[in-house]
Amino acid sequence: MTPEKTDEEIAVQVQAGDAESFRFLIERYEPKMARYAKRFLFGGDDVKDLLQEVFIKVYVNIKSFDANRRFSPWIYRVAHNEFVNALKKRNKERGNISLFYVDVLFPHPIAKETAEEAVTQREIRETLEKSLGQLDPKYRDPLVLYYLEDMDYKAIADILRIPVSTVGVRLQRGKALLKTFLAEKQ
Amino acid sequence: MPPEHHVGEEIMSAIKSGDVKMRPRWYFMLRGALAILAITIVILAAVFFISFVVFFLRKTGEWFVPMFGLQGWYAIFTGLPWVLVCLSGIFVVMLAILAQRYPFGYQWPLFYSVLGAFFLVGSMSFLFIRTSFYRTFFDSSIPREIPLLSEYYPDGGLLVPANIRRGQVIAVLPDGFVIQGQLLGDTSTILVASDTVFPDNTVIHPGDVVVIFAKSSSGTIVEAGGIEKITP
Repeated sequence: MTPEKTDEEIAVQVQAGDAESFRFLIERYEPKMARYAKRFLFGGDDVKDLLQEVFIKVYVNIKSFDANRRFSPWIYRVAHNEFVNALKKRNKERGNISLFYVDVLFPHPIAKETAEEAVTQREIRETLEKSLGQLDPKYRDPLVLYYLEDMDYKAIADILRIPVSTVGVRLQRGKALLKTFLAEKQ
Repeated sequence: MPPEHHVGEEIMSAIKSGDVKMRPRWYFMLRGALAILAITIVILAAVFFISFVVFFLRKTGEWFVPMFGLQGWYAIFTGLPWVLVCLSGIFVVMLAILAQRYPFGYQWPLFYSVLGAFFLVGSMSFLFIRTSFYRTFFDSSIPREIPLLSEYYPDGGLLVPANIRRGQVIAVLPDGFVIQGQLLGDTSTILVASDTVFPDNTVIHPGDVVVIFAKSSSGTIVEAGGIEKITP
């Protein structure tokens, strides 16, 4: 197996019965999933247990993955669901039931990012890392996926199962909150 | 990443030992098929109830009274079978929610999904109403046995609106005409006054099917507020 294969090609091989190839997907995504889990405010043994659950679920359900779509949003979706369920069980917060948020019910125009905001993006990333615990999950999740996991709007929409326009709205509002946190610290 | 987070070996061991197995493709195909079946049932239920509401409104004549202006709209609004209308609405919203499991559903705000579901169900109802099966079925005895629908048929105590009559003209009089109701077979004498509204200004002949929007009525004598000839 050459490491140059894409995630999707490896997934197809696993689907065909080459279980050993699944190791490559674990190696590629374990660091990302661990980082993502920590941004849901998990730590220590919780992260390890959750990673095991995520990868087991990915393997068990790999035949539901459509190789014509990107693998990354699909595995992030599995991870997101697992982390949300774990949070619910831990009773830290109620979890993201997007259906009942008004911003997924009605359309919103999407604001475009400008080049001028490159510097601001660095500040946002730094502030975001420090403010994870203060953010509502509805804003934290898209902010983490966009600024820290480098996902695009479409991928975030697929992971969180919300409209693309809602991703834009939540990013804007989340950024505004982070700027407030930054201003308070300064 | 800290070594304690490395889970690869444990997972691969579980896979090799058979403790963790892939779900077969047929499992997901079956799940997909069940989802499609659920969506189909919801669509058919929505089309069924919407079509019946239209059938009911046409049978009672309420379908035609908006042409008499605000009073007509008020009459149709108050005469709607609201239980069935709400049931249809619930099925349409269910359809929009079921569609959210697919990218074409969740990529749009729920508002658009509900609009799309209304459009889809409305279009299918429109096509169904155009078929000969539609009237044959709803006129038959089968829907009369369905608990929720039976009360909308004459022998189930049909909620015939008091100020709307629909019937076939059986005799023309100097100051009006006599109609035989198509629901209960009863006859009514319709009096035409100077202020009676004829939206199309047509002449009434025996055999014509008409809808009367009553200004007042006393037993079988009806003073017509508006008269419209319709195609049954």
